[in-house]
Amino acid sequence: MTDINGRGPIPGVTGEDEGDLAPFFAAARASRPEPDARLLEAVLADAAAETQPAPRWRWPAAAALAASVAAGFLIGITGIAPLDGGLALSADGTFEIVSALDSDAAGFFDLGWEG
Amino acid sequence: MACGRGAEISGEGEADDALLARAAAGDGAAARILALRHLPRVLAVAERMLGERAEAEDIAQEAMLRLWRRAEDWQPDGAQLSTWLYRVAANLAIDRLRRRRPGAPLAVLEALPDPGPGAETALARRDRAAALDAALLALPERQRLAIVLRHIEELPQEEVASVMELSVEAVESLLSRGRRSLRAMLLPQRAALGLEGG
Repeated sequence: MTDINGRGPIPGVTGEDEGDLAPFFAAARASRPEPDARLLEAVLADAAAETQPAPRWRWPAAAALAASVAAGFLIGITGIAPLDGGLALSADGTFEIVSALDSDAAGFFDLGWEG
Repeated sequence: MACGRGAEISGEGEADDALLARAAAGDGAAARILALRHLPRVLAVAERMLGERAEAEDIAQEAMLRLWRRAEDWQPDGAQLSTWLYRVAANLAIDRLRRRRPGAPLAVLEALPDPGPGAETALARRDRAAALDAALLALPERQRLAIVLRHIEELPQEEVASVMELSVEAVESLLSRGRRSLRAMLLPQRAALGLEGG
């Protein structure tokens, strides 16, 4: 007969090896200390904290978080209210960032050649 | 209040590996079954190694915590869960014993039966388990662990060897020396403990 985990029968530990110590070992086996309810609850609290909760709510939460991050990233790049603007070539041959607020700026990505 | 091992809970007949997989997915009922199944034994080994309840509880909780942390990556083909837990608890207990070493001799002497006059009267009030526990504390830690695992927890010798990461022959040697020492300490007390032939 095997136990719940498929372990086979335990060889006769109460046999010849124990001999005259057998009554002492038997007494010890009969008096195994039991964990109290407080310890059990602490162990179960650890289990709840350390193991993964069921995935049915985790995936939507993760997707929402990813969407928020992506949205924030895009807003960071484009600005909350993108304005008409872009790069303009300066007279000295360098590019500069302009916006529609500049009176004579070129249009968005409309790189006008001057001078 | 003891937590009660015999509670009827669905899934009690399930093997450890399957329960641990469920626990890893956040199944609290599976974690509870595993805790009820293994916590008493882990606690017993720790307490018999240390001779002190509060420290043993710390170690039992820590061993179970390490199990939960490992749950998601647990390999069913590896060591039995019980073997792994015993190993973790035993190593934690031995670490604790080594850290407290400067005070250990006093603790052991306090736990040992009084060998002086009147000792028999004092011993008569103790039960056999208490006498064994006291004698165990006088053994070297590896002999103590081997005796506890083999003769009290009733693990097969091969599993004791696996827990202790020793050969079966080395375990047998530890057991033989441990039993010899226990006999020397306990057999003179047989009459005082209500056993014939003392």
